[in-house]
Amino acid sequence: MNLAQYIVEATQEVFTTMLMEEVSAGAPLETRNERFSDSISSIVGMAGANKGAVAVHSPVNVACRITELFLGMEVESLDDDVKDAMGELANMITGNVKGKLEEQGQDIRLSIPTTVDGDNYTVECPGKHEGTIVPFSFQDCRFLVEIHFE
Amino acid sequence: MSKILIIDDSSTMRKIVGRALRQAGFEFEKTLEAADGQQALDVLRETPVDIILSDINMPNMNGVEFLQAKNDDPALQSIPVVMISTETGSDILNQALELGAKGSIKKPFTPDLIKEVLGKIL
Amino acid sequence: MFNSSIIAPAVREIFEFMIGMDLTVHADSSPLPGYHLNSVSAVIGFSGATRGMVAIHCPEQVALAISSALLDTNETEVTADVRDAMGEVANMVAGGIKAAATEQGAELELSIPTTVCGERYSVGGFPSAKKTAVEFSIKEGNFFVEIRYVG
Repeated sequence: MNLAQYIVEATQEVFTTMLMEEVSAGAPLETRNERFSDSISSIVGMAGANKGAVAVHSPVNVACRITELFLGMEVESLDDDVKDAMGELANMITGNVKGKLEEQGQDIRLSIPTTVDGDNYTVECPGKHEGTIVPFSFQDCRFLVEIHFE
Repeated sequence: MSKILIIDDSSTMRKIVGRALRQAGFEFEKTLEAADGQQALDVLRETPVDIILSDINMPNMNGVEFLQAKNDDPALQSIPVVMISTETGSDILNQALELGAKGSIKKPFTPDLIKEVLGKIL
Repeated sequence: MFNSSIIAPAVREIFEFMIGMDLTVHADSSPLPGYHLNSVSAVIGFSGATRGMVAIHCPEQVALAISSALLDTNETEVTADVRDAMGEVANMVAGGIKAAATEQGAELELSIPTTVCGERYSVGGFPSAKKTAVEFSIKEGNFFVEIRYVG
């Protein structure tokens, strides 16, 4: 089960289909920067016999750019559209990962997205489980997608 | 020129679907929106449409419940419905298809997929 | 389905039996703050009969007190251990809510907890979800347990 690969494929597929934007994936991060500033994180839980979560972390300006790609119109600041769009992004990436995990025999259902935004915050998934965080970039934007799975 | 109703509890998602329809080359005379099945029924009773795109998981009245209610209304029965969902092959999606939904579009979707699914209906 | 009559007993049971802390349930909860300041939140998702999340939101000193009680230590700053402990509290509270939901015929499965902490942050998502929040007090201060769900 190559979690990093699932994340890369899922994220690239969502961006290519819905946003018509190519994103490049970097190597999974060796160390995880837990602290985010002026950012937004959207988390979708995977529930069931096997549990986990997928999180998309992005600076607010990148989230605005992603929302612009979704909506086809200018987005100036963090508003409900941005929070909704980032939640939807996390939902679709997780839905895609769910499909891949189910092919491996895992039994998973998704929770609703939870979106965290703030000037300065830490997000973690405590516990003993496999986890990986992959950086992505498009144009001059960079964001992270993280997965944890038991 | 046709009219379409987009049903989704996320206003952002409704805008995203609207945009994808335009990118697929569809131009509707009127694009109506509703946040759940009950609102959708209220909208339809004022303004009949030619096609409906509906999310499945929604509060108050979900996509399956909406189909059941629509089927019970002679004035609305014949309007085709296409479901939009993150999952395919799920029980609830199958239920929707059994209740007469004409097809489904899986998220994430491309404008081409929308063109293909709606093209067969419109 | 999820109202204070499901949330309050689940939280009370965890605090009194598992953590060993007295707590008071507010009959009239204050509104949940839009932004949490110098706080710790632990969130756990659920799916099944309905999809949603359970969250516990505590000011730092309350989180320190709760995790100290759980870990049987004296925590003075929000470390990984404190965040871990709060994740565990969310897990237990969600477990209690899950058991109550099962009694009402609604089967739920839980995801893993996520903890958030910081100087200023908001926890939200899914604007159309139904929301219920209950406020509680322990000696060190007040905290909230929130549920959001759809379907």
